[in-house]
Formats: sequence, C-alpha cells, structure tokens
Amino acid sequence: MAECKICNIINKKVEAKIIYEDSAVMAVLSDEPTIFGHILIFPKKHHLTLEEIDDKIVTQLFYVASYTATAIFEGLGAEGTNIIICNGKDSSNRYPHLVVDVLPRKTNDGIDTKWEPKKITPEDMDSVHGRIKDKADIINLSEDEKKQTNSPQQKQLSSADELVYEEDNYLVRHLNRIP
Amino acid sequence: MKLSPEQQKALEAQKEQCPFCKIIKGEIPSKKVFEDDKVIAILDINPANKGHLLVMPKEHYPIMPLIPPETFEYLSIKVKQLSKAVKESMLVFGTNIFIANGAAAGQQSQHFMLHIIPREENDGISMFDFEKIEIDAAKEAEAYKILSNNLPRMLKEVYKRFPLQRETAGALGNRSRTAGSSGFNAGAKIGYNKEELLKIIDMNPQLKQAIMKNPMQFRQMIPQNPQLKQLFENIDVNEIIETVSGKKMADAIDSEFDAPQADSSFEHDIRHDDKFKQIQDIIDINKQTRTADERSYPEDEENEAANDNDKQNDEDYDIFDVIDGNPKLKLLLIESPDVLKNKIEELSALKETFGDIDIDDLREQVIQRDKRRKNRQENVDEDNEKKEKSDDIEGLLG
Repeated sequence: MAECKICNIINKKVEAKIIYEDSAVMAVLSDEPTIFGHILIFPKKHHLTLEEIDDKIVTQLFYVASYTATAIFEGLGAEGTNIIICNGKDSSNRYPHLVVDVLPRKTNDGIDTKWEPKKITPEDMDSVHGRIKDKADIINLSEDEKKQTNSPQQKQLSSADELVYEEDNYLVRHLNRIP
Repeated sequence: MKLSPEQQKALEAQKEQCPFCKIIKGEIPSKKVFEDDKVIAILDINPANKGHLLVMPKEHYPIMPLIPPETFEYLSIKVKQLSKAVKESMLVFGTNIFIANGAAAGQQSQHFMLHIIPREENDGISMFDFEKIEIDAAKEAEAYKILSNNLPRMLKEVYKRFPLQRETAGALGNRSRTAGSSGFNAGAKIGYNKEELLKIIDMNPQLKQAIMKNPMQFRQMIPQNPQLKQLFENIDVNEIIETVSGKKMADAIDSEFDAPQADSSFEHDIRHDDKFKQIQDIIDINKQTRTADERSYPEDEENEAANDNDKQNDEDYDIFDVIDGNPKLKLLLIESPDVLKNKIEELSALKETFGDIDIDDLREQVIQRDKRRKNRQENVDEDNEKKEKSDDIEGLLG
C-alpha cells in the first residue's frame, strides 16, 4: 500500500531505525515518538487489526514486545514499560497498519495512563457480562461446533473489520443503548 | 527467569494477599466472561469503557518476564480471541490492548494482567492519544545502538521461529562477542551520580580490582576509554577511588570469615549477568574476551588457538562453562577424576579444552562453585547457551 507509512518502512522506501527484523515482524524506533525510546513493532504483512493476523505471528509479536520491554528496562534505565496495541478503527490508532507500541516509563514523565472509571449501572454491567460471555464461550469450541453457532450477523461483523471505514449497525447499537 | 529462595518466599506471601488470586479461587465475586485451565478474563470493576476486560493467567506472576513461554504464548492467542469476542459483542470496531509493567507505567495490581478496552469514536478515552515530542538526535542514536545490539541477542531463541532478516551486531548469535563489546548497556543514562557508580563498581569485581590495585593507572585509563569516560562524567574520580579502596578494607576482613571465594569464579558468574557484561569488557580491553558460546566446539578452539594469543588466561574461566554445560563431564570430573584424566589423553578435543589445567584443582573449584551457585540467581541466557553446548559436547563424549 503506497499510503501506509509502516509498509513503506517494511519495503525500505523510507529510512527507519530498525532494531530487529525477522521474516514475520519488525521493530523500529519510532520517528514520531511519544517519549524517548518509543519503539514500534509490527507484522510485515499489512493488517489493521490483531484478529486478522495469524496466531503464530501474534505470538511472535508478543514475544518481541516482551523482550523489547526488558531491553528497554535494562538498556534505557526505564522504571516501567507500557505495551499498547491500538487495534482497529477508533482505537486511537495512528497508522492503518497494526502496531504494537512499547513505551519506556518513568515516574512523572508527563504521560498519564489512568482512565476515568465510567459509571455503569448494574443492569448494564449484567447485560454486558452476558453478551461478552456468550461470544467468549465459543473460543474453546472445536472448529465444527463453531461453524454451527456462526450466525449470518456474526459473519457480517467479522468481515467488517477488513473494510477500512464502514458505518454499520448503528440501528442495532441504538437499540442496545435503550435502558 | 528464576527466583532466589527469598524472592520465592516473598512471592508466596504476595500470592496470599493478591485479590485477583482470590477472585480466581472464587473467594471474591467477579464477573467472569471466560475461563479455562490457564487463563481467566473478567470485567473490570472500574472500567474505562463498557466491556473493559481484564485477562490474566490463573497462576500468579507479578511481572511479565516471569511468565513461562507456553503460558505466554497461550495468553497471547487468547487475547486475540477475546478481543474479537469483545468487538463482536459490544459492536465496536476497535479495541485497545494495554499492558502496564511496573508502578511507573500504571501497574496497579501485583498479578500480571492485560486490559482489553473496547473503543468508539468520541468515547472520551484520551489516554491512548499520544502526542509527539522532539528527541535529541544524539541521544536517539545512542539508544538505537544499544537496543539494536541487545534486542536481537535477547530474542535469539524466539527468532528461530521466523528467520532473521538482518545481520545486526547482536544477532550474529554463536560467533559474536559479548554484546557488550559493541554496545554500552549498563545504564544508558547520561551521567551517573556517585551512589549509582559505586553500586556498579561493587557489582563488578573486575572493575573494583582494577581500581584498587592500580588507581593511578585506572585514572589514566578513564579519559582514553570513551565508555569509562562516560561513566565517570561529572564525578570526582579521586573520591570514588578513596571510597572503593576504603571499602576494600571492610571486604578483606569479611572475606576472612567467608567460604573461600576464588575471585576468578565469582567474576565468572557475574559475566553472565547481562547488565554488567559491558563493564567487564571495558576492563578487559587488553584481553580478548569471548563468550562461553565461542568455546562451545572443541574444533573451533583449535582454530581459535591459532589466532588467539590470550587463550591461557581465558581457559580458566571458560572451562567452568564447559563443565556446567556438560553434566556427564561434570559428573566424571567430580566422581572419577582419574577416568577423566585418561579420557583427556585419549580424545584430542578434550585435551584442547582442558590443556594444562590441573584436574584435581579444577574439581575443587567446581565443587565450591556449585555450593555457591545454589543460592545465586541464574540468567536465562546462560541456560540457553548451555543447552546448545551440551547437545554438541555430549555427543562427543558418547
């Protein structure tokens, strides 16, 4: 993709400080760093979301992130590290290509990773709980069982990930918000 | 990563108190969305957004490096699947996966966990909207040098799954010198203060020796060696030397009552401590230092001998690596040194390895080292290097 900055780095069309590269993933020093020592790790194949990526490569990404965090901790004298994946549309992702950010942290470094807890009513919590549980229960089923439970709506949603910008299901969302 | 007994005890105590372990056991109620025998996912009580999940291994690990590889791999796949489940159930297209290692990074719990936070446009979550800052180019270049050397070296085992594309200095694996020789790792912080420097010196007996034995020479070495220069920047060298020598008296008295510590073997242990390998190399400027890896194959040693002048000095400490990496060899050394002596005569490879070393003396040292080793923390890299070697030399011994 000509537009994707990360793909340009992978194809060597753009200069980058490559720290690690194997046939599946690459780690570079970010040139738009949030903090000194900000590292980006990404798969060589262009994907927007984590779910599209092969299991083995996902594992490799996590390993590289984990060891990078250790390398930062020892090599740059960080007091802590953050590993952040902005996965999909509206996730504060900076690139159309999945990137794992590894950030070295120190106390009072100006970055705030605290969130304001949202007030959610118990009924809402229960409904959310039920919904996620239903979908998560499928995870450990075998492939055959999965095919049986796969409804048309589900299929539509999973393919939606691959379309870059699509507004969809706003009506359903609206329904879910009615108390 | 392995823990010392004291650390192990502290970990046990931590587990008792850990609220998440209690949730996992069922003692505290929670909204579980997924559970299997290794991993559990629950809804966060203080969510950043509706559907905020906490995913954690059932076993208590305070930090990420302590998680064993199989669990870690399993966890990464589950995170991917759970993120998909969240997207489908909450009808969002984006999630954030967030890991905080350390209090400075926002880690609030002692039980390792990942956050999966569903995201929507205008949901009010700004913590992932990072701003860009300006970085000093020189500092960046240095960080790049350090990381590009260390990271591939650390990932040696993991990159075997996917072939390496770049020959970085650190990635050369077996044949490379200690990563430290080409990069400065022990704290890339620019400028130490006195306490930190003293700590580093304490942890590096060779450095300490150098200062104590010949302070004048050491003082001269500093401006000549760029790494030493950086270490001692803005620090009064004389003060350091005084303090170090002053300490020496205390150490000398203490050591009278300790178990005999052959200095060479203590240094040897520290050599395997990643952080301080670099400092060792600074001192070994005249010695050709080699990693244990380079001594792995007797055939290689024949080549090395031809090229290497300082082999004799190195043999003494490398030999411990070879022995440790070969349990059969070790057993033979400890239980039947005479048999080993005969074997050495027979096999030229062994002869090269042991050379002129006194077997009985060596045996004593190995036994003492083992006693001390039991209490000491071991480095993962060290274990991996040994595994590689033992595969080869074990075959040789038959």
